[in-house]
Amino acid sequence: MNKIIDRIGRHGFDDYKIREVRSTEYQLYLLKDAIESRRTVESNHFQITVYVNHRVGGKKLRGEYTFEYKPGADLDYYLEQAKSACSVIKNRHYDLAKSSDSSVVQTLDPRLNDPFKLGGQLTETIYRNTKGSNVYLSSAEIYLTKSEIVLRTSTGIEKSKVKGLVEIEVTFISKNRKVEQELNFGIRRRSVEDLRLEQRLTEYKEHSINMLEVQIPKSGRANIAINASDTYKLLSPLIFHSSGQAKDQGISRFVLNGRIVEDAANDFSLKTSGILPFGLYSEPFDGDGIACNEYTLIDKGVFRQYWTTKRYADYLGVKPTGEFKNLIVEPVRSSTIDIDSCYEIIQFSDLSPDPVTGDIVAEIRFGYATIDGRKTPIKGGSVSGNIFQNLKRISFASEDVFEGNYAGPKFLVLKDMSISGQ
Amino acid sequence: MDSSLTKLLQNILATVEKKYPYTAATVFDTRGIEINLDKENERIASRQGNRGIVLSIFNGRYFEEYATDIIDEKHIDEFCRRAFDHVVMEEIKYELTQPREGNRSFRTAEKIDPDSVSIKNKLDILRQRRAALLRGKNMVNCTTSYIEETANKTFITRKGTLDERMRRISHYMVAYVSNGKDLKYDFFSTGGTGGLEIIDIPDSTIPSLIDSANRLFNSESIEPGFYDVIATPEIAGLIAHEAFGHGVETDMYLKDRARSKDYLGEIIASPLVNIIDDPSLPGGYGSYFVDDEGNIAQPTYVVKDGRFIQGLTNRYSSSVLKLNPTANGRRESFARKIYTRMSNTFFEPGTKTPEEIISSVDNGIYLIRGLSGMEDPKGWGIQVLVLYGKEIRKGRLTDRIFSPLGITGYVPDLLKGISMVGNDFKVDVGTCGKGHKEYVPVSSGGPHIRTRLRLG
Repeated sequence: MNKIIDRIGRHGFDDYKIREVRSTEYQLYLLKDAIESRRTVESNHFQITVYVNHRVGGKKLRGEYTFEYKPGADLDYYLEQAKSACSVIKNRHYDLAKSSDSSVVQTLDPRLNDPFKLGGQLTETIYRNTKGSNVYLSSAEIYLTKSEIVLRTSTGIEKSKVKGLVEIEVTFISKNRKVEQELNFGIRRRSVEDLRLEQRLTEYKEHSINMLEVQIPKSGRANIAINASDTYKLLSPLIFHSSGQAKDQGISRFVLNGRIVEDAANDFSLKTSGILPFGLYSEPFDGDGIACNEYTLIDKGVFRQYWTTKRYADYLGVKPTGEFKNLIVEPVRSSTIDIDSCYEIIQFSDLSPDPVTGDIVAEIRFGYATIDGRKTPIKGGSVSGNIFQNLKRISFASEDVFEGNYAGPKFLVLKDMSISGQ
Repeated sequence: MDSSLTKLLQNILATVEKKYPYTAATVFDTRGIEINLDKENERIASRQGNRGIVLSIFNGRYFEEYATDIIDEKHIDEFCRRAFDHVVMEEIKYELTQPREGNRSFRTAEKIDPDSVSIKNKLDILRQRRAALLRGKNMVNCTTSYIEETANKTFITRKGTLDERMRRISHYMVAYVSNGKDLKYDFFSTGGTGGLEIIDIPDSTIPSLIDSANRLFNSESIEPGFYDVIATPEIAGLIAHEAFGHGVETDMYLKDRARSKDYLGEIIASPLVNIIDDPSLPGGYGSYFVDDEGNIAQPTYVVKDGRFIQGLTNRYSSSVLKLNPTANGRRESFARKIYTRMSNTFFEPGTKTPEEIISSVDNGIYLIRGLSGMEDPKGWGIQVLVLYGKEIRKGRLTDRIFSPLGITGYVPDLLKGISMVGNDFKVDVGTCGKGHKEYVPVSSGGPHIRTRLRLG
């Protein structure tokens, strides 16, 4: 690191930010009851941003260039390229963060210190919980990663953090004499315990067997229950519009101290938290070195604050919150939800709401339609609507859960969504 | 690539020649730049994340791989020897197909060498396009991007070395418009393998983009149901990719995850349908000369005259399933595993002009701008998201616009419903994941096609 800083200094940059990442990853791929592949990946690289200040017509401007340097590559080549790029970029000036304390948060499960042992234990758990009548394990993938990150800046920041990640993907095949179906699911957590792997395998095995009876849903309108595992994606347009960057670019639909939607049936608060224990996006400090914390962006339906990186905080003249981290949703009141008339979506094929417009169109990969108390497995067809319109008619489950990057109601219900089926 | 590193890796592989049935080393070194502009900000960053080495060893039953991005000869030497010490030989269960012998080298053809154009000149091209966009009606912001990557790859076995240098370029523009009440956007993308000529665009591109974004203020939600549709090449490509691209990746056969396994040689589509995956397509964004397992790129007819001819393979799936190997073993980066992956996947052109196809529809939807897709190889479902489509009435496009649109359906119904295939042809630029990860550059496309689909 010191050698890199020395070379940056020799090229005459005004500021720098260096992020060194050292990581090891163990990957295990299971194909039915055998190993398909085992992989070990080691990495050591530096993400470097260098800055050059300009003064044009009395205005302070700034050029910057980011590159990744891996030991063994020609650093001077990249620094020359950086110098050239910084000379032609003249953005509004912003300052790098100054040295400050970091937050304390759990981000590494010590079991990741022995990934081979942990990989074996997870494999056993998977094999033990995937056998059953009319159902078997098709494949599984296990990724165990431990990384150490050091951040140094020209403004005096020198911090480090260690993070762990456990990722598991499992595919079940269910079959009877007439039908064969597959159900695939993935989980990412920082701690092994938070995987709740046995419970999830049991649940998905049951879903998988139920898939043998699926029907295409009927076209029309319905109340849709969205699981906690999809809440982050579902509410991603709110995250987009509450960003300082969207505000700076003139494309945020939110106004400070204004209601996010008028005539909402159920208000809620939305927070970003970088200090949720073992939260997927929790860490002591963000990419700029700003200590992570918890911030309320939407308070009981009223927009109170943009989340901002240091750059956009300077542009907007506000205090930076740092990057958006884990999502916390707190309803003003939890609802008694009529689950006797609801489509419960276990899995969408791909839930990707349009961040700008809030439009949602997603195929139903698997779920249950409950009509007059009768529950039927469903697959196919699509759900469509607009999250900003549907916020007016949203209601929340009373039970709270933690789902890696989300803490809040176990599920939420969007009322009167459009279903395209048969 | 550094010849001394190649020599070192060849020597290391030679020392274990007799011990393992298959060994290979692959060196990745990707460099490039990415320029992004919005209304107020300009960013330039390098792109060189994929720089590293993978050592692949087949132990008779499965692959053991060791990957590192610490490219220092002393470290590599120790790293490889340590890796070989860890591998446990198993009784040979599968005979792997062996890589070709000899040395070959490949390089993308370019009309304008991007290295001959300065960063400032590339930036100026984007600045001019940004200025033109921001002059447009109701424009509140825009983004313009240029991404240039030079992907160097060397595949080394004890039998030889294959070396390729691919230049991939892509260019995107997004126009954000507001009427004070609603915010809408539309986008443009182009890309391919080649030189800077790829980002030459017609003068009409920017006015057309602004116009189409503004038209979305009057867009309507569609009544869910089945419609006669005409898919532009962009949407046709997404359908080919999701319907019978992912569905014929044969590594999924090993996992019982693809229904097409039971339909080899069967009629699965209209006789008008031909679907090809071709990594050797000149200029295709998903093109390469050599896949990541040392197979030379060549086209594969997946569907011919409506009949399913052949799936795509990687070395493991073709060896275990005893299928004709295709050059489709790809990995996202040195840090990820090989899977069977598509390259450039498209419908082959037919005989009808796009105008003839539009005039044939009495009441339907012309699907225009694709957003994303998702595969379902086992259930033969499909999801394609479309930003907007136009109404067709009595053989003509009307001003009525529907946005957004979601295509869902049963793949054989969709493919058997194709009743007209255009004589035009276009492929686009894209990135493809396997499920929700393992992203690789691809393209998809074809001609205009007419079929019947469920829209929501």
